[in-house]
Amino acid sequence: MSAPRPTELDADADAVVAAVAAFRSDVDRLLGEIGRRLVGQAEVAGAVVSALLAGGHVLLEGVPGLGKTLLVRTTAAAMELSFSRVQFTPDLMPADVLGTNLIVDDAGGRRFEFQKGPLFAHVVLADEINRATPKTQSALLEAMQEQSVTVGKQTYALPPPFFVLATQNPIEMEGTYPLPEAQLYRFLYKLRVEPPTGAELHEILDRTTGAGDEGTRVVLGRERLLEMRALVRQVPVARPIQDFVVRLVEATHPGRSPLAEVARFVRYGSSPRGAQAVILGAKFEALRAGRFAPSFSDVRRVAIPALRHRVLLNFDGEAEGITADALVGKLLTLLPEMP
Amino acid sequence: MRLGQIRRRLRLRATLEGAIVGGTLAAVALAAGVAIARARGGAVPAGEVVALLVLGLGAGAVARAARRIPLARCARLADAALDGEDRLLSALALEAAPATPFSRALAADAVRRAEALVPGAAVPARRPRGLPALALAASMLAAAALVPASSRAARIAPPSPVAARRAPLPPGTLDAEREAARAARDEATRLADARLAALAGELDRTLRRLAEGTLSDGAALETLAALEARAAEAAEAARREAAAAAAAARGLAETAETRPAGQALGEAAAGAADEGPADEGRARDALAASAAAHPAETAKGLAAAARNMAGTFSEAGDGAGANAEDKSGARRLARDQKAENESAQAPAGQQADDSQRQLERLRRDLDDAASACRDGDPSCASRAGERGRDLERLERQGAARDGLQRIARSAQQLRTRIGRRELGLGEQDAQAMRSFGRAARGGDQSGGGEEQSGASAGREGAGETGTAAGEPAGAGEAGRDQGTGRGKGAGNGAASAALGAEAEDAPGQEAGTGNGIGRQPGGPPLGPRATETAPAGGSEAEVPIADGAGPSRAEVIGTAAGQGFASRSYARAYTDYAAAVEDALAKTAVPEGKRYLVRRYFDLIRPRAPARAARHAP
Repeated sequence: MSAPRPTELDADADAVVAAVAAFRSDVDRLLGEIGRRLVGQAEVAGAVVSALLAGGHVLLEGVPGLGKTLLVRTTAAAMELSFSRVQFTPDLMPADVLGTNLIVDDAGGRRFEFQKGPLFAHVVLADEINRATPKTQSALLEAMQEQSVTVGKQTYALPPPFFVLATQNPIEMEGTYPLPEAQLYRFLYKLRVEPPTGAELHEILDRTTGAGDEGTRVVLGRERLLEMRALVRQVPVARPIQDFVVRLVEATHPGRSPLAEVARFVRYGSSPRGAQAVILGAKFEALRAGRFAPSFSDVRRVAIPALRHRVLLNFDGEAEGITADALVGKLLTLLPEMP
Repeated sequence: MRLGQIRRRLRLRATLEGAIVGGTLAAVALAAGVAIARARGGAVPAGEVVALLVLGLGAGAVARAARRIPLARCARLADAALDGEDRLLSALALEAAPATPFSRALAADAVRRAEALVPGAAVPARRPRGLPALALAASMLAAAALVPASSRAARIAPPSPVAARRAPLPPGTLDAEREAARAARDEATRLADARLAALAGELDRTLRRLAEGTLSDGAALETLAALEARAAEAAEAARREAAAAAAAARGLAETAETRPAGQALGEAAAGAADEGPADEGRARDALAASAAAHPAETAKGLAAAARNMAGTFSEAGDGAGANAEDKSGARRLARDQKAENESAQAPAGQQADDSQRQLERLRRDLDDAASACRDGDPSCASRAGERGRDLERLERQGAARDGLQRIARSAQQLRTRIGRRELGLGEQDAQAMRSFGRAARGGDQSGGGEEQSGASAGREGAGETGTAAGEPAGAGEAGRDQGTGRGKGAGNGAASAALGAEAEDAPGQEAGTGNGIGRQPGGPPLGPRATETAPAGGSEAEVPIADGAGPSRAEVIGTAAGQGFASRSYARAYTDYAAAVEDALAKTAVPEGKRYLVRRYFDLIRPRAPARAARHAP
């Protein structure tokens, strides 16, 4: 290779080196603050920050009481972002989320004025999103994808960064409306929140049943967050790494997979959004590790949360108790990193 | 940088492993080949095996060394040796892309880390893969080459080409055959017969190679069998040609105008048998002159000649059929050999066909010439002259039949001598082989003029009783001369006396002097068994035979080999082995060069009926 030596780096490259180091430092500080408030769940917290900095949204799946709301609230507070929480219920209407036009009397007379809904925040917690009707769920579609809301003939831009963190309870299926695929695919990751271990539970008890609560400290500003988002997008990806991601996503499709179980149990494989999610997640992982390009291990690290909700099982798969996690895991084992 | 060093190490490793793979494949293939060759009775020179093994090693090494090793693979190995985060791979892959601050930073980072890399850590020295397989394959090859073959074919496999070379024959061993070859060659020169000359030359070459020791027995048998078949075929063709020429001469003699030509042909035939083709062209000239002067009459003569020739074709066919029934045993064996050896058979059959076609063509030409003369064609005289010349040539070819038969006989005799292993043996061994041969043919085993009766007595005495003096069976040949069987066992005691008494009871018998071989020193079982084979005269008595009495199996067979195969004990022994014998005969695994010997041997040792021996007695 004929690359310049570290001492020969130009100013731009030097700036990149510094930016990566700062990124790593800031992420560590952010995760440290989250970890100071949230016991355990380090992996989930890391994935949430990853999605936040990659510009995606997260679907959290777990039983109530595992700290999902605390996680989101802490994340928003640590970055000095506005936060709103919406408890999704069957009678929740789109206007309840998006906002509505109200008649306002003022000096000029009566007029319609748009009353912003809870969606107009940097961080939105859509709690138990699968309890709302599809109509209300779909109200989030435009907001998540376009970062804007249209009410009537008026489109309102959402304040960047806009980050949706939705939760759903995997146990209580009565009275729920499973998210449609179009909605599901808009989440960068689908994360599973596991119950805390014994030690973590002790720590939770110690922290939450005492007198003091120090609150969350701000470690990052909104502008810095946007810079970090931009930096993630600048990370280059080597073609062999990208090729591995492409082959991985292709292999989730029944007709193109070398894995027999995929052909037997999968109805639809991942869309291109899955590949985008993996690459973005891998870029974040590279920067978080202080590297300038993602590696195969970065891809492996983010592949399951990025693809598990994009691989739709068929009836046989559901009946056999097959999980998308297992299939993607097998594919990661089966596929060679370089053919 | 480091990637180049890594690539060199990878290539070295690939070369080594390729050599191992190539060597393994070569060793497996060679093991199979050696095993098959040994099972078929052949042998593979060790030098060739080693050379092929080395060739396999080299081919594998070259094939693997020539493979392209991408730098990306080297980068992967380097990354794995560093921290597994694919920094070098990414930098390498992004090198071709437009440079960005990120890619430059990445490249610098990769270079800095690669400097700390030790190539040996990326491609550590390790035991090449495939070594166990190579060891296993080498063991297989060694086993195939060293473990003694257990198949029957391998047990009777011919020696290796080197071992097949025999010592040069003593001077004078092949004098008789050489003389025959020389005579045939002289006759070919005298008759200007290329066919005879070729066969004589081939016999000469075979004799020379045999004398020099460069021809194994098996190869010699095959060569001689083929030569004999071709010579016999050629002799038969010559006989037909001579008969056709004689018939044509007789046809020409039927007409006054062409009679001189017929007579000229007849005289030429008589002279050819003695001193060669004298007065060549007389028949041609006579026919040409006759055609010029008397075309119509010449046409009659030519037509008669053609008619007579055609008559010999059918006779030849009949004669061939009759001859086929008179073939000698050796001739049948030669035919068997022919059937086994296609290469020897094809030229002989082609030779007969060519001869027959030649005769047919000449007959048609005679008919055509007759037609031309009958029609007053101006070419009548020239055509008649050409036919006269053709008939003279046909007559000369027929005259070579004696020489051809001589070659066939010489080849057959030489094959017999080789089959008896008389070539190169000392006089004592040759005598023993001749003795075995006589025994195999059921010939005499006793001295004197009354061979068969004496032999019969000797055999029975030897095979069954082991008595001492006065084999009753031998004596029992009513009034024959004294048997002089060669058995050496000395019976004794009361049993012998009883035997003698029984022998004396036989009418007209004399005290036989034939001796038997036996292990029983006497006793009741012996005498009566001997007497029961007496064809006439001697009294018979049934005496139970004790278990285990009599000679051993080896002794029975050994005695039969020396004294004849007509004894009942030998017949029983042979029956026990018959299945194995038939199996051996049916097996094609017997080497081709030895089939003749094997078949002939088993033919010769078949048991003879006792009565047959009696019939042969004068």
